Amino acid sequence: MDKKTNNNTGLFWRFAAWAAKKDAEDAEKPPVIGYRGRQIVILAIVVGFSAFVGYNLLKFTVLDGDMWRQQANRQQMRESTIMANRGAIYDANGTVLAQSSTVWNIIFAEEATYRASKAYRENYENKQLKWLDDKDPNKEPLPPFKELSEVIIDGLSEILGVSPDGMRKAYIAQEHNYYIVKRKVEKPEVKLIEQFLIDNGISSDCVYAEQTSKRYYPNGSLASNVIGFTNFDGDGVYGLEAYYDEYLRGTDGKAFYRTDGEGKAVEYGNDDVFSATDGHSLVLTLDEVLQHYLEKNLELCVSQHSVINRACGIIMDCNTGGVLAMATTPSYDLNNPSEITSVYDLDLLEQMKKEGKSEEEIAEQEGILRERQWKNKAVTELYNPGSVFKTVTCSSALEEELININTTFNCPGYADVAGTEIHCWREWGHGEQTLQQAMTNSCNPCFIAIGQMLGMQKFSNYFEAFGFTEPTGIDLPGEEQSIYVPYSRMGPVDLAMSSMGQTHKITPIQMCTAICAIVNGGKLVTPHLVDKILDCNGNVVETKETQIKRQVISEETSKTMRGILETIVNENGGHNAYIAGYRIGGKSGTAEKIEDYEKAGGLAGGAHMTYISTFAASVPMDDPQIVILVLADTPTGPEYYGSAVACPVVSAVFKDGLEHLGIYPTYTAEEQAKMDATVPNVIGDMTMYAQSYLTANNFEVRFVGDPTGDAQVVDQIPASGSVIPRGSTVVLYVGDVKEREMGEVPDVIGKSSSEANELIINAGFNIKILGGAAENVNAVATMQNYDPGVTLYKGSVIEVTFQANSFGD
Amino acid sequence: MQQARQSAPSKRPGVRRPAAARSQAHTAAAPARGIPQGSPAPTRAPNPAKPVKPVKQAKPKVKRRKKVKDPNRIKLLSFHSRVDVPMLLLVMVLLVFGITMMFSAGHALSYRDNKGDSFYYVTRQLTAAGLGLVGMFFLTFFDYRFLRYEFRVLGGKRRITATHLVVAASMLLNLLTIPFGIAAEGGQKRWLPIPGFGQFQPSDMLKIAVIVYFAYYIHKHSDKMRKFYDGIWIPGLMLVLMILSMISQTHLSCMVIICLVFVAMLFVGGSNLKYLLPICVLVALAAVFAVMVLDVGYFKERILFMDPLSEPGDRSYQNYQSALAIGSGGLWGKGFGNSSQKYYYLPEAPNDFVYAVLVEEFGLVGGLVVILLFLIFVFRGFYIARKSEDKFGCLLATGITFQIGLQAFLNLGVNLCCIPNTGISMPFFSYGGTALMFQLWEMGLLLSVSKRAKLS
Repeated sequence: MDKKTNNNTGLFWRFAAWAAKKDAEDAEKPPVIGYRGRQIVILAIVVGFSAFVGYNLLKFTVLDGDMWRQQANRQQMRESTIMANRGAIYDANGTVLAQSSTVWNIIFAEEATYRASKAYRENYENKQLKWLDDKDPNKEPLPPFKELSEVIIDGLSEILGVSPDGMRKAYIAQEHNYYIVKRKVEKPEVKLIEQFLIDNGISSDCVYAEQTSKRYYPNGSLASNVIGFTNFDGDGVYGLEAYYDEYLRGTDGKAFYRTDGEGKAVEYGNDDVFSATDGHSLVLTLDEVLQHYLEKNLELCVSQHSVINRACGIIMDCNTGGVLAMATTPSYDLNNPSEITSVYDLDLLEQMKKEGKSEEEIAEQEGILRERQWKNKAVTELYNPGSVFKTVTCSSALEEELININTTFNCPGYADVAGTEIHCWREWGHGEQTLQQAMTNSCNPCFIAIGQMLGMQKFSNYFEAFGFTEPTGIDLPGEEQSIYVPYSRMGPVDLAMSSMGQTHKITPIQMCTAICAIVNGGKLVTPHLVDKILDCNGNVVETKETQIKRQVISEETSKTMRGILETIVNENGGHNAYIAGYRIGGKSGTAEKIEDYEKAGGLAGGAHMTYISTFAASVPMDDPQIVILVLADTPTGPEYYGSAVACPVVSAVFKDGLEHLGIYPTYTAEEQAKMDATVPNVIGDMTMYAQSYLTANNFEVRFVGDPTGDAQVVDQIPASGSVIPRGSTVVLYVGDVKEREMGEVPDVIGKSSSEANELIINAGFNIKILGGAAENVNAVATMQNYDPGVTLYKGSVIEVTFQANSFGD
Repeated sequence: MQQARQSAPSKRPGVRRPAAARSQAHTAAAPARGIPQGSPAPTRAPNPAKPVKPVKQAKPKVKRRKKVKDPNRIKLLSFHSRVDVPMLLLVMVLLVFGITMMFSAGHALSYRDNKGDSFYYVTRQLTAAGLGLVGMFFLTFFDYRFLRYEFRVLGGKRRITATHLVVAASMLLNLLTIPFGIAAEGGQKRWLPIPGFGQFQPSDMLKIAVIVYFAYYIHKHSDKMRKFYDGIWIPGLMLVLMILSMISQTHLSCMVIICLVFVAMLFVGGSNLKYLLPICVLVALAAVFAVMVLDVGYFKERILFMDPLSEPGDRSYQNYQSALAIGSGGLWGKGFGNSSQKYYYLPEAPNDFVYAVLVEEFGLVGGLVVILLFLIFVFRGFYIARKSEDKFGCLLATGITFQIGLQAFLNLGVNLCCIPNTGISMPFFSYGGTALMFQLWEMGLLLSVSKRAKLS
């Protein structure tokens, strides 16, 4: 065995043998290691160093741990806002007036795009190589290479319709990784962009959509001055949006999350999320339909009478104080509030441009005008109530039992108050008249006398009691404080002027509330627009109850006042506000804007003094439900009296809207007889039957052609279904008469109703008389629906509107 | 087994005990050193079931005497003596813990940089660990003394050892980086491509070569070590030569580690402190001059911006991020896998800053455990060296232990911002296949030494 081992010449065997020998040698002698102490030195160094390291570890993790954790959180934690949805605004019937919808901001991340562009190029080069390798002769040619940024910029500008310059500039600058390409983009466009990104293989790091919300007003300009709008940040700045901002806005939520070094969120279970609470919704007392009628008619008024300082109207439920409609015209589009809508304002700007004013001046003026068009005239602007205020003076004196309905007054045409002569609008005076007549005639000296009867103390007390000294407390921002002469500083002239409504300046809503108190039994209510506040699930959070501030006058006085006001409308054969079937009470007012007139040097666009024309009305007078106040500030047309300018608006709104409000007409027998009837169809009938049928329906018949025998009616004018006054003539064509009789429309403008009737009947037409004051002795035709000289079939109905414009206030 | 151990000394009465004072237990363990056991036969496997022991004794004795060789019996791989189990366990714990933490720290970066493959790094690391473990177990059962066995080459004219071959091979591989190296971003060619497999970092091999070579050198010239020429000059020249081979790599931290290991080995090997100390001081001064005045390797900046708060966003960015990770760990850490800093804040999370992620996830406690593990490692390694009766084995164990320990604590120091950031990786923890493989091979050598050491 041993021999074999020794003879083996392999390296390892020799080593093994050597190793064995060494082992044997080692066993023989003590091992010589030496210098073990030096190992200890090294060990000591290592231990020392590890202690140093360990101390540092302790310092970082525990001793300074909080500081480092704070810094780490600052670096890693991000918070994002979860936007609360702003509550909606509904009208009384649940129609949406304002709502928020989710929209997106499109973000172009220029840095990320720059980083991704290299890979994009490589990708294209790979495709190119593959294309070159492709031996198919019919292969489609490869589109030329386009930089990633260019693809994105072109694509986005095409989809969103924005200029590519902004994006290009941002891409070159590479300053931020966040360029907002377009704000508030709707869903379909976002979808298009997503598809575009997928089609071109672009990462969502480069382009992405960021959720945000947009306030949307489905009805555009409807009730714009009431609703108001939100600013860029989504905070309400005008109207209800501002007043109820706290309710509407909700509470934004927050999400805290960790990000990685590239700023992306890291999936973590322990993110803190505080979810958002959506805002409350408002249900208004405002009625969209009524609001529409009011705005429509105010607009008509503004254009007809060239009202340069805007018109406003308020319709209130006089028992609850709920505002049913409130409008300022011209209004503006809530979806685009910066656009100036008033033609007068636009003219003014145009004028300034022509005059070569600097751009800053124009911009400044534009800002002022914009501010003005956003204002709610009914609440934020003061005016002299004028004659409408006489109702207050009157009811105060009635309440004090200083006068009664039968008290008589003498009007010599002027009143001498402490040496100052104050003229009545009718310079030769009204002579002897009762209280009712004084109200109807709106006689100034009579009311000066009533004011003097009241005395300064009582007048001031009632003035305060009717709520003219303090804001009404309507739930709208910016309610203006009225200006008045307080008792302490009042003189006899002030009292005289005040009792006819010419000293103090109040807001329309104050006047409207006072009228409510006069007609509703003496209760001064707080006007309000919001009926209910709903939470985001539709549960009622808060209901606005009717708030009665105080009893100003007694029910008895109120009743007397209702009678007086109703008589004003009904007297003298009817007022412009009269509508058959309704019991309407009202009072007009025409206040002089002396200061404005003087300021404008007497040339404020019109041939006369500058006025504010108002009309206040209530309906139905047996049990008042609603009160309306219409105010036209500075009409520059030929007419300026309240009954001529503001009253037609009231009348039109009532006609359009009363039935909608559930107030239906009840006709007297007299009114019934004057009502219109529908023309039946008699074409094809025998003449005899046709005649008897129409006569039975209170129509006159005139035949053209030979009616004898069994001739048949071939045509009728007016056509069947037309609604025309009873007693009108229906022209029937008989047999084979081909020709239709034609006539020329006569000019009846300025004619009284009997003259107009005669003219039209003589011309072979039928007349339909419109306007509440048609039977008034002073009424004249102000409008006809066909212009004079137009040729029409004889028998056609011509509508003529009459107004009694010589009413003084 | 117990019986065999007790019977062995009686079989060899002539063997002289290393020290008379040695305890009985120690004496009993002596045969475990891998010296061929005389005859394990009769006493080794006593069969208590057999009642007639003496009767059958004669016959097998004769047979076994034929099999049992003389004391010079040859053994290439020895399985008889015991490996140091604490060391083996420690290595396995470090390896498993290390790879786990490397995965935790690196999966996010792996996902980002390898087309969504979170397991790219860990797969490669596991492959390297597999190769390393195979090599480690082979080396464990391999007699390390083969490395210093001289054999004749070139027809017997020259006597060389395996150590020379290892040194030559590693130097050659390092030189190969000059033409074939893969250049990193800074122009350093630290890797050699292995077609179809990946990359290979030859500087890791050089570390082993240095340790093995100087262990061999000191062992061979142990009697002359106190002289300047043999104890300082020649080894110094050799060191310079070896370091020159990695000239193209500009791997400063590796060079520093090699130099420090070299110094430590000379120190333990018995160099004359009269020469060694002044030279060390001189070299250190020269290094300080080079760093502070000539600004070699931009070291000045690294020292100046060692404080994480000096320029958080810029030049001390890595230190700052590391400090944030470690600081946000607190006492107990955020829990395994919950580090935030590994998500692209720490630029070298799976490499140099595994420890930062580890502390972020396991807190002060986890960090201390790692420090302790490495301390125990160093203690045990030095203990093995101490107990090795072979000077070669002693120096080998010292060198290996010191190198691993040094690297570990330097890396900890970098992570804790108390040492300039030099890119020293953490043994067993940092990502790097070649390094891990060679570290495990070194562990194989260490365990091999442990087998022959007289451990209690």
